[in-house]
Amino acid sequence: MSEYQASPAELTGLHNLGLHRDEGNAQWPRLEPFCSERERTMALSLLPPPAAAAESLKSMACQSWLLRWELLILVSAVSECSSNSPPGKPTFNSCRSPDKETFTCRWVPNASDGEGTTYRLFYSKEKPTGDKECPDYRTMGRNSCFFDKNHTSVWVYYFLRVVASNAFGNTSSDVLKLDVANIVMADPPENVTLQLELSEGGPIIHVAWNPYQPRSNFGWVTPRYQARFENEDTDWIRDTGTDTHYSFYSTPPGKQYKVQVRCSLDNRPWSEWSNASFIQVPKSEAKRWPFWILVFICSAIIFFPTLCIMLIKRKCIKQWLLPPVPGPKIKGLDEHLLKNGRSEEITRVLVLNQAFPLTAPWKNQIEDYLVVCDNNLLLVEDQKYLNRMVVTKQFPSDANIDKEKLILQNDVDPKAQTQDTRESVDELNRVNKEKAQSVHLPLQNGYVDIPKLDVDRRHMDYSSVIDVTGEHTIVLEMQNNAPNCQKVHLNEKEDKCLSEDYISIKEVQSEHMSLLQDPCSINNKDCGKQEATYANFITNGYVDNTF
Amino acid sequence: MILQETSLEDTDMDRSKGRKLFMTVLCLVAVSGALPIADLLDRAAQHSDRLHSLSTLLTQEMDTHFPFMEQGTTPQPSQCHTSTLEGPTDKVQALQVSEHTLMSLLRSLLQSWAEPLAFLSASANTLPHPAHSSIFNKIQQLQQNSKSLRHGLDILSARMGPAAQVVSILPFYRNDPGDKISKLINLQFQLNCFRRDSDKIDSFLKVLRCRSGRMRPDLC
Repeated sequence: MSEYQASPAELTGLHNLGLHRDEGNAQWPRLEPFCSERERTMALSLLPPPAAAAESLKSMACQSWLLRWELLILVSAVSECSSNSPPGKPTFNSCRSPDKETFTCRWVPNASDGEGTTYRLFYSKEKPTGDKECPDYRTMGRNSCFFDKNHTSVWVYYFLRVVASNAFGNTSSDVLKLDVANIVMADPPENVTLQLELSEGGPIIHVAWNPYQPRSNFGWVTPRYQARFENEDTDWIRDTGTDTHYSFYSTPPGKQYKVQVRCSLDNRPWSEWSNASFIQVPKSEAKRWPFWILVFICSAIIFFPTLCIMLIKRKCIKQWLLPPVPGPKIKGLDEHLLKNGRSEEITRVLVLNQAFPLTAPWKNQIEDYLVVCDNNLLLVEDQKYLNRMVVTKQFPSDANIDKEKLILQNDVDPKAQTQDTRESVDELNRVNKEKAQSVHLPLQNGYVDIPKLDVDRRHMDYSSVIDVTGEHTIVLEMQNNAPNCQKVHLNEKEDKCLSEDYISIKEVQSEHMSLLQDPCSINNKDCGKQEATYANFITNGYVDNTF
Repeated sequence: MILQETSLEDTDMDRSKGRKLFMTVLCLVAVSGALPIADLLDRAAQHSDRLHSLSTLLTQEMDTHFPFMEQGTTPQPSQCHTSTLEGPTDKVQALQVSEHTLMSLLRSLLQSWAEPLAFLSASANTLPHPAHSSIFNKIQQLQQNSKSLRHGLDILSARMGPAAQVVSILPFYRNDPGDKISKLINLQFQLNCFRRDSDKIDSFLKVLRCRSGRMRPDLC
């Protein structure tokens, strides 16, 4: 193309139109080679040849108008052609590896780049220089480069650059240095499914998604997941570890939840959240009502008849529950009598007509007998226990008679003592009488039993002690059948005087030994020395049969 | 009846004997550490995962306060002191290399970092960094974790044979720059190197775990 020198006017005119002359060279910017020769000549022919100075002023105005018009056409002609400059610098958008085995890099072309710009990616490992070209421009779409397994190395630095080229030149981007290990980021999980379960504890949301790498043993990367449950109030994020499912319990009912899942590989940053899935949790109250109504009806069915029965039978129940306290039952005694009767009747009924049961004598109790003591003894042994025996009718030879203690007063006057002893003896008599009535000597165990005796019989069984004469002599009063004998000497053999019921003391041999006359021998009138029973007066007062 | 009782007693005795035998065998197995290798590898992989997690957190914490540390300004990775240790660079290679080689490489990497970590821990204490106490804490944890992992790998390699016992400990040159900023930059660089190596260790251990498992190795 021939050089064309423009006039200053033309220059200013063109300048006004916005076409700048390149500072570096005095030439106009070259037109694109795509413009045809014809167009160029046409454009140039539109510009008038330089006119003479004389005619310039007049024709300048006209020419300027023409100039503008022609330049306009020129510009439009020019704009129909592509730009005539090398492309702008592309920039890297992102490089990412989803599995640490492959990676993809994407770039962004310059905005001013035309349609015809081609982009090529060159890379090298470990060294900034050396050019290998991208193996795959297509898999990941436009302006991308995909490195497959064979071309990917981890822990190795890649140096990448994109070159944009057009007819006018090439423009290279900045060099990008990357390590595949640093650009690992997972894709969001796919196929997120939701399932609602209505259980007793409340509604449960079950989330499940596809595993990041199907059939993987986590030999190279280990994916970990997070699930997110969001409603208008709250936002829960839960770690699920390596599980590809999660159950969200105790969800507040009656709300709509947005559920999303994301993934992370081996402590790398988290992926983007997956596409949202929505689920509506219903209000749970409706389910509980029928159950409680049923419970209520059943309990009513049971309760009301029971109540009726209880009302009908209330007297019976009352009697069973609270039995009346039995009143006192005394034979012959009536409530009316107590209320209205006279006191004599009541007394008669209460006391006289009752048959009191036999009171068993208190066997363990040692029956104490009163001691009949001698005056002298009393004088001698002043303040000692005196152990004596009282002989009664029913006095078997081997029975034990417990002793009776008589405690004498300390300072008793001998004379007064005599008097006292007499009185005490009288008293003893009286007491003895009463006691003898109720004394019964059992044979075997030595208890003293008091039988119930009639009043009339009293006098038959024993003689009362009239007097104590001497150390060993007791004067007994004769009763009823017994012949008149006033005196019984303990150491004499006046057997005839005695009734058969008595055992007379034949002989007192020592302080603790006295002979008793065998009653069988009395009738034989053999008052000689018989084989008598000995009574051994032991100091503690037992009478023992010692043959 | 009596016969029945004695036979019952016999079976009871047998059962107790059998139980005792089983317990002694179990004790011996436990004492001798004869756990299956797969279990040992699983535990080691858990340790290495934790190690990698800690180192990632550490570098992130350091980077948050120094955003000007762009990739262009970081020193070349060939300047890491472990860069001479060649190993597999992708999964295919890792599955092809023998287990002894992998184990030897792992142990070399780990043991080469024992001394540098101690040095870095000491220098981290006096760092002009806002979070220097937290960083120091994490480096301490790193040290402990790597120590226990080393111990575990020693046991493992003893089970694997003499080829796995080959360990090359690479020298670490302590460069102690004068000013504090350079110290900081150096620390960050070293921690990045360590992060890379911990990632390698983690990946290789997981490959070993997968390969030693009963499941199909082509699914690793």
